[in-house]
Amino acid sequence: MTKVYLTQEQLQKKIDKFPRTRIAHIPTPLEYMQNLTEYLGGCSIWVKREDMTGLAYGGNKARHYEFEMPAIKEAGYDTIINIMDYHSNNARMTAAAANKVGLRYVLILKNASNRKVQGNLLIDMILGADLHLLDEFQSANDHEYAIELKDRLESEGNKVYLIQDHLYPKLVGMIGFVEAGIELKSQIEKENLENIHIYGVAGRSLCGLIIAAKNMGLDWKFTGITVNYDMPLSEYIFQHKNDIKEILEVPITFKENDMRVLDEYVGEGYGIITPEVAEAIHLAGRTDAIICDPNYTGTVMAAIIDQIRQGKQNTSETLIFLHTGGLPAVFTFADQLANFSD
Amino acid sequence: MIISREALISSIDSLPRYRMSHLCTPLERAENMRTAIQDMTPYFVPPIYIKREDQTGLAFGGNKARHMEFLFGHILKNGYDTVINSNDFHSNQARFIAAACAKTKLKYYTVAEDKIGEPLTGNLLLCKLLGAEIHRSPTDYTDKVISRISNNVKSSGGTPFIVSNDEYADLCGMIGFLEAGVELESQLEPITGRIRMWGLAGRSIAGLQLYAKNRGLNWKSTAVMYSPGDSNNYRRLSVKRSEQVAELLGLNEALFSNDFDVLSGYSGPAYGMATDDVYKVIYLIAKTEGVILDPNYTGKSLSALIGEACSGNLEKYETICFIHSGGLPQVFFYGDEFSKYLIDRN
Repeated sequence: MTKVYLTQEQLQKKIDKFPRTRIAHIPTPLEYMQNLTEYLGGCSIWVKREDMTGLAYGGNKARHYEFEMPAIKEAGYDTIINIMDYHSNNARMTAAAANKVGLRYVLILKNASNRKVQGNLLIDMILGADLHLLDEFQSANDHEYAIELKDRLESEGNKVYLIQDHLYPKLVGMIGFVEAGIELKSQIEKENLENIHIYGVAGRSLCGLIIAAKNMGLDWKFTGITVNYDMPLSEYIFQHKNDIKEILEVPITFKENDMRVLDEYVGEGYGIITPEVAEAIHLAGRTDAIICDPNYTGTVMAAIIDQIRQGKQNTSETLIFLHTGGLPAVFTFADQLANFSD
Repeated sequence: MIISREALISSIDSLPRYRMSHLCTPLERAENMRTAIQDMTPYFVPPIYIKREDQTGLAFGGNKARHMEFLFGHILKNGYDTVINSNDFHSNQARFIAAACAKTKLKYYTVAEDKIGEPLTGNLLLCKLLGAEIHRSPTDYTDKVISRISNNVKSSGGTPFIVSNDEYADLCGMIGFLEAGVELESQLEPITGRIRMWGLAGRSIAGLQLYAKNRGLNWKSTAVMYSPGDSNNYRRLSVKRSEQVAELLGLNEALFSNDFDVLSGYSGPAYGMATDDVYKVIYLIAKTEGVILDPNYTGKSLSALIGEACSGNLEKYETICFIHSGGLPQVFFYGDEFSKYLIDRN
């Protein structure tokens, strides 16, 4: 038996102490992918629909901003600067969240000059983000660019919050997903599911679920799929395992080996869809009408399919696919996806 | 005579159905946007709520997920194994049928009319991802293409269902929105005074008004035409459908042609083409609420709402319930138009 540190109610109280603005439509559904399950003939596959959080094409990050935005506002900031890659989902969802709470949003996008206005970049524009599109040379010095911009905006009387210079934005995603873990526990109980194995992008959302599971004494297993992050996981997530423990005031946090990490599905970089990912996107679509994106969820789906086909996934487990959203990117890669044939 | 909620629900529950949408959809207050509109006009702008039908969860969401539940209940009950339909190049319906066919394991042939040379994006790209077999056809040839596909299916032993030829299929949207009416009645319960449902001239808004009439609710409806055409034709069709639905479900009241308002001044030059006003309001709601609309449908509906607000044509004591019927994939077809609009604006 796994040790129970906190009940569901006790863990919820830890979350409820943070200031919060309601932005996301939660709980998100847990759906059975019956047709894919039958097609692959292995374990049962369920999908946690984080693409249905309702904030400008949805996605897991809607949960983060419920905690991040009030903290920024309460500290008296009126302007946010965010530095992201041109294709970023985070960039889009931060724009939508900033609009909802009435903060000015300045978005510095790396490797973005001369890009076709499509996918997340198009939505960033529609959301009215104050865009700075950097070329490759400027992108190498993105932080300096941001600091200069921040200084200028401050000299004009604004109070500027540069997201990348703060710790809290690195933790809120985990806080949001501790709550998603509580949600998932109830859904799993309602559906009578056992031997839970969660597959998702190797990132903060999965770490939040791990914290939830460990503190509530649940024996869920986790597989994190590496996608194209600039930063290695250790720097990006693992160094914050104690920060999150302190801020949440929970007895136990995650550690590196709580998650099995699979690196082999990463492909050759952003913008290059591997045949496996293209197949995975089509298969999830044509079996259960679940749309995945080419970078994140498509890669996770490709890993799930491959693990089951190769017999590496225990058939007695219940697999839960964490669908973190990213839907606008489908259209950035319209040509590649349209030309796929099996 | 007023029908009880329970009686209506049990009547709907007697119909064949295949569940595939996530209900009920949220209702959100849009106070930021209301304030922004108020800044544009001296006339009082009433409270605005958004019914998030874009959140039904079926392959990018939208109101038609509700229709599909009844349509596919009907298709499965009657033993068809193949679905064929023609739709405009932009069509959301084509995508929903594709998603529903994927879920129910039926073969789907979609004939996309017009814009034959355009590469796949938006809804049509999603049709492909959802496993539909796509045929492109000039508008004049659609019927020929459909009958050719249908004959091929039959000669290989299949039983095709052609959506546009089916009378019941034409009613499913209204039935789905009777149920949306049940949701909205609960969600709007705390609001006193009259509610004005605001949406596109289609089956959804007519379904809501039919619900209100049978429940004796103080709701009015405004249906916005999204393409130039005869609004009387829309009224006639809605009345006819409401009579059929009333008969099917044992409702006491059908719609009369003056039970709802129709606005025809906001359709723009053609279906699939939007004026600058439409882009302007899409930008406004995105900026104030983080909500995305599309230029073909919901953008036109909001431009009508704001146009009427600024002309002083909204009733002071009504609360607006704006139906966000979805259509999100097609935004990506208009990347160039959005870019041009935003560049011109700056």
